[in-house]
Amino acid sequence: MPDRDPVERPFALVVALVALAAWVGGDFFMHEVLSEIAILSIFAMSLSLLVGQVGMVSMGHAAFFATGAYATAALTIHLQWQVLPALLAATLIAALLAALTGLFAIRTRGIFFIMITLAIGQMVHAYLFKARAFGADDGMGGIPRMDLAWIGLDSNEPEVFSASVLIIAAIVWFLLRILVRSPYGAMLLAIHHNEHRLRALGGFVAHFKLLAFVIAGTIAGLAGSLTAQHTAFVSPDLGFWTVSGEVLIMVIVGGMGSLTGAIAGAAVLTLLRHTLSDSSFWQNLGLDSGLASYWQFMMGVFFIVMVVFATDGIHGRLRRLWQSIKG
Amino acid sequence: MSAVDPVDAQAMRPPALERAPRLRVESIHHAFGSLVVSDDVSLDIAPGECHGLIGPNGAGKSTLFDIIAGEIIPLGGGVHLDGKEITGEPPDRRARLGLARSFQHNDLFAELTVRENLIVGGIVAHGIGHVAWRALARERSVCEKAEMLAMRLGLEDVLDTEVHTLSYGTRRQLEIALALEMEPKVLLLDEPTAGMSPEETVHIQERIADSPPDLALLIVEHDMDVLFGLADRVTVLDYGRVLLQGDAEEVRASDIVRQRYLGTDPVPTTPVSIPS
Repeated sequence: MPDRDPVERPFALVVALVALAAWVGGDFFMHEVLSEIAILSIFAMSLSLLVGQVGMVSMGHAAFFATGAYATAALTIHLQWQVLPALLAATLIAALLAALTGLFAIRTRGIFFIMITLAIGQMVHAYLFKARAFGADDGMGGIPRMDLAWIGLDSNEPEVFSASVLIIAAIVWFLLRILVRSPYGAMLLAIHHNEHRLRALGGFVAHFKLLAFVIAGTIAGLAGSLTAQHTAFVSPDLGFWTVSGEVLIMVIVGGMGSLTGAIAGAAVLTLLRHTLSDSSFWQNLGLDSGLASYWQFMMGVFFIVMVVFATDGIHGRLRRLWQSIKG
Repeated sequence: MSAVDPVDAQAMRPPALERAPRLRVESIHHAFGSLVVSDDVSLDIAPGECHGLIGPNGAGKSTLFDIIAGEIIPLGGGVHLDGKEITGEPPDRRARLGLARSFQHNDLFAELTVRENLIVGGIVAHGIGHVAWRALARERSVCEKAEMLAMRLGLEDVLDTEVHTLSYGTRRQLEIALALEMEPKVLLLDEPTAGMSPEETVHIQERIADSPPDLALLIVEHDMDVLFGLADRVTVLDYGRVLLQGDAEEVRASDIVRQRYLGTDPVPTTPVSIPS
């Protein structure tokens, strides 16, 4: 589609500069948070492709995230694979699972798509919760990080790992941006707006949707592999439906249909969670530090405010601001 | 020419058409529950022929369209495109085989602009919908063709206007342009001029009249002047059955049509209801 979004590029530039500044000036804790944000950004961007571009609201996207994480854990711990090939294989396994489940999921629409993806997510969670080979409800620990010795770096150092995942997040942004601006991206947008008419014109609607589902699942698997490396630990909770819900909230807060928005949403929600659950934050405000344990409640309030006053998210707000400045 | 039995009607046609039919609809039978909506409906459309379909509301015209386009799979009978049976094919496959349609109620990408609607059509027509690694802006031919089409339709002023804000008649024009953009072999037009102003009607009539010479057209139209101005042959449907089929002039001259549609009868032709 001809570019109708004047905000996306400057917005992305600002986000990139903020990330760079945070990385340069960040301490140990900041680098941990940056890694977390970068990984969740990749995860959120993958869902943003489905929700924002195609209009497929998935409530089971964590299934592919967990699959990528567990595949990385199993390959590196059980089979002693190197991390980089394990990362590639884990991403591929997530893609395979997405293709398999997508065949069924894409036949449905709206609430039924939400239900079927929810079921897929819960099935993956239920399997991981019981599977002895993968540590069942204990999960698996001791997952190594990617080996960067070949360029003289140690990815166990927080600033090296955060830089790596930030770069990967940037690459994912670029690739997805190419995709949404391509003829294929226009087809996805057309499905979003009027699937019936696109089919009547002769568009391969089912193929296009399945491909989008697989691409989104693949990238979610990549994010999962990175999170396993980051925390060195995987648990069945990674595939739980609340994780799918949280990443959906990130996409909505950031602004549906914007990749940069997904990154911003991931950043805002992660920072908010860290801040609100920190008792010193409440003490500094002169309030009872016990409020920190109510952080999920506060997040709920934030989310309600967002939905009531800014349904189009951060990106949508910026776009309106731009339009009001321009005319 | 007052054959009521469609079998007879077929027998009365010249035994061999000069050219093989583009679209052949053969003894279609369909029912919704106990309500029979298509009862042994047959028709052939040759390349370059414009075939009109008339009949009162509820005669089964739209159902027949849906059957030909593949939205409905009939209980009996067959649909052939260029001699190839397509009765069970899904709508998107039929579209790729060269069957395009416009909808009775505008069915466009309403939140996209005119340009974007035409670009979506162009991508499908060029078969580049799977190209994910190249910017759309690089596909010059698609973008330029969209602009050219809009110009030909007189839509160049609203090129970057979102479709849902346009007038009904303008959307109707775009509806037809989108179908024609596919360069189809067979085009189904469901009430192309419904709800249009007289000027817009003339404009659309001209557009339809100068469509490619070998295009086979099937057109449902309530405006009898438009219909008989375009159609070479006409089929009259009533309660799902073919009441009459033949050359436009013959049908026009028949008693049934004169009484019911052309207003020589005390009962006037009901004006076309304008869908909102």
